[in-house]
Amino acid sequence: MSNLLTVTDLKMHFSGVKAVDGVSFSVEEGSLLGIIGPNGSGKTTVYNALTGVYTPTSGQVMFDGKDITGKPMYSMVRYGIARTFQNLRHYRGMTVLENVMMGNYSNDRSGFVDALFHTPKFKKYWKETKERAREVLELVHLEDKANEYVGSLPYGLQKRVELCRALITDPKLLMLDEPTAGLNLSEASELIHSVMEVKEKRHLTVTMIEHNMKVMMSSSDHIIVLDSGKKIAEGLPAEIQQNELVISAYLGKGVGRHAS
Amino acid sequence: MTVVNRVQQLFQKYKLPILIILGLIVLALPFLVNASMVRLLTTVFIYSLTALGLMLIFGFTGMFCTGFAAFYGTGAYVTAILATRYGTNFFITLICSGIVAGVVGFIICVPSLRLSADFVGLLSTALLNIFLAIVRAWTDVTNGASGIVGIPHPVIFGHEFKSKEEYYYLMLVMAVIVYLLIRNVLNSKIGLCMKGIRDNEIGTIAVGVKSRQMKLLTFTLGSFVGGVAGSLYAYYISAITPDNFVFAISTTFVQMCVIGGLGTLSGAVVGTVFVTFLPEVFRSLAVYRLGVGGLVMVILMVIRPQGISGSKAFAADFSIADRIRQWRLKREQKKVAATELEV
Amino acid sequence: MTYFLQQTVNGISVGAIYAMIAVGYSMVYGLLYLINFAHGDLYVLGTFVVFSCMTVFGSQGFFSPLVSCLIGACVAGFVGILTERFAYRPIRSGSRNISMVSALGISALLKTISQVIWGPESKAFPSFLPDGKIMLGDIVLYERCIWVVAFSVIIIAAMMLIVRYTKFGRGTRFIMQDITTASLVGVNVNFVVPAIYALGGFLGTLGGVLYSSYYSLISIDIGILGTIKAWAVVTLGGPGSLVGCLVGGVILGWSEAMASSYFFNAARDAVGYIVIIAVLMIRPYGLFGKAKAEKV
Repeated sequence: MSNLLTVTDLKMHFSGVKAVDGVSFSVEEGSLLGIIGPNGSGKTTVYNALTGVYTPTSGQVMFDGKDITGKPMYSMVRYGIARTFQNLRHYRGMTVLENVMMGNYSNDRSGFVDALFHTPKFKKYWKETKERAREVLELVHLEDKANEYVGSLPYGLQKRVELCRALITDPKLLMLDEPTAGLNLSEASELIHSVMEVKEKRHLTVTMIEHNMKVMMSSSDHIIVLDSGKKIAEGLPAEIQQNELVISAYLGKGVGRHAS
Repeated sequence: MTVVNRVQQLFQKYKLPILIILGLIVLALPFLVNASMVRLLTTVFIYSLTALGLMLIFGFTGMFCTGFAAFYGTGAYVTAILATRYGTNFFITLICSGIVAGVVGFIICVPSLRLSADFVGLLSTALLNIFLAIVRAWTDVTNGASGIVGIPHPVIFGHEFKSKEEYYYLMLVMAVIVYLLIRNVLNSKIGLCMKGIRDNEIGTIAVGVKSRQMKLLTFTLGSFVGGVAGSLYAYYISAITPDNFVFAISTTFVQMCVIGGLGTLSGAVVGTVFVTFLPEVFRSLAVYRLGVGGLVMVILMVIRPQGISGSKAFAADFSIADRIRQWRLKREQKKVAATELEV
Repeated sequence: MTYFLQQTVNGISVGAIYAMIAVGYSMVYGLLYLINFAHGDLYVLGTFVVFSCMTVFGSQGFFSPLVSCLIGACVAGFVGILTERFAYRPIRSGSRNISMVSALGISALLKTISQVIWGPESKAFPSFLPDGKIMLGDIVLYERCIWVVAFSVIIIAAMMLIVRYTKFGRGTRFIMQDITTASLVGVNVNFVVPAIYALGGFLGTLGGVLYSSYYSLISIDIGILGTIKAWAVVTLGGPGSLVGCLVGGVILGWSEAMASSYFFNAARDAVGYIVIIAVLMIRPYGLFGKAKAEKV
């Protein structure tokens, strides 16, 4: 199995703060990579540097054979990368269907003039977008909520809507950022179950930042551990659980750091 | 269930019949009401287009623009100059006015894209001032502060539109056409993008939208519509001066959008009707129109930010009923705490 | 050359006035990132009060203008507190667009109030600054220019000392970082924030009085003009930075003077913005401003 994503010596410095300081890892196609680490270790910053939110200070990112280092955020979908955000970047004031339809933007090849006059080309793509959105919603069992306003849904379902928006872009790599944060036990396991289901059905590769150890250990094929911007361990879930460095990173540092 | 919700539900259920009836009434109005009302309604049609342009920029894409009168004024002056000096065809003038306004909008929007989000507001207000300064100073072309008079009546296929009824129907048809086109755009991926950029720009970029281009597109489109509205305005009142386009007018447009309901198409119409008719209803308040509108805006922001039409995107987390309940609860708690202290 | 220096002197004095007007605005903007549209109309209200007081008490001498200014400034400050309490605080947690709309509404309301009380026509504002002039070679240096610049510098310096060394100042700096954390560490947010608005109105009125006595004019229309100038100064100098106000104001005033003398009058408005855009391209947060981090 080849590596879909290879990150080499990624550095992200912000005027003196070394948020990410030389992180390297790769993700095998079809696998699920777990990324763990105490708060402030740079996990989300790695995501941001990979997906164009920030331009990496140095390092290289190879995805599917192409060099995507420093490419802008809007090009990620074209490469086949979709992500979710730690603080849910969905649209509370729009319906579930609209949220998911938004994700199909890059597949919709109609233009402004088509939209202006609702030409047949527009109608074709619009219909297609709606159908694909419904398909994705069915994948995660949300199709009955299609016309509800996202803001009125429980938090767990809102997270699933954001997931759907990422899925409709038909990604090769799905990057999840703390998908179970803020969810109770049953919501969390439902969500992870959905993720695994979709991963199988669509042959996705997934990376997942998580704090929920149970979830991590049971769903990851491979795990990397970050601390203070550096990778301190990597390996199979069972190995990580025994790793001394990892244990001390979590227990030794204590609470009170800035969020990553 | 609140009153507004109930009204909205009714409206949804009987949408088509209601619209047909409303449409018939609007068509028949010139024969049912007096002359000044007809004139007032004609201005409502024109202003609702301006509100629509601003709504695209502010209500749908979230770019706070307080200098919109600059595009409106640009359209009006282009029309005035072309029509009085060169006698150009109505449609050509209309489109040209829109295009010039759109280009100006484009130029203003470009620098603000890379800079902070607030910049558009500042720049558009500055633009308005610069526009007024240019108009007042460039007397050769714009006649300065005295303005341009004698704008000819629109002539379409040989027919000259001069009576108030003719203007009424002309403006009505123009407004409806533009509305339908814009409605098409809003019910498309472009409309989704606009709302997406407003509600969560980064999330929208993450799914592949080049948000800068989208903002530019919307701003240009909105200012184009504003220019068209200005053009119709110039034709309608046949004499314009710089004072028709001062900052207070810009504020009035914002009031129309806000009161009507940001982020909704109907909001532009509802808001325009509200803001235009309120001073008519309370005649004595006409002088204070701006202030009253301002007060209404503030009150709305506090208790019902989604305006009359109530787009969910702008609704606060708590409804009015919830807030009253909360306030009462707080008062109770304070009382209890006070009595506990005494004990 | 003399012409150039003369215009420079004029430009700097006007710039100092802009800086004064901008101080209050800068603090509100730096604090809450709220574009306070009402700023201009608020201080115009205060300036009108000063105008009326001066009409009543007379505008000559030292005490009468001083008292009038203080009364006007306090009225503006008080109105500032009222607007914060009823129009901004309830929506502080909401989206910024909503706060800005509210500010716009207040601006319209205040303008109408001023219009109702004092009428829409512009009036001659009594000039209480000394009329003398000093000749530096061929250049005329009006005494009032010196007074204006000195006054602005002193006030801004005083504000800088307050921000740095008082408990209140520390509170504002905390709030500028993050308003929620500030309340958690014990800053009395509901005291500091209204106080900043009050200061905005107070200092803005002083700036407005300087403006009106410099140009011997007061009208309700200078409200929006003032808001724009303040905005421009703060954008140029950096939000929340008082030094930035002074520097930004001077740069703005100076470039306007240059543009209107060497090009044409209408260029005066445009040039300010060209300068600002140019500066922002290099330093996106203004000359002395700091970036505000957004969590992605």
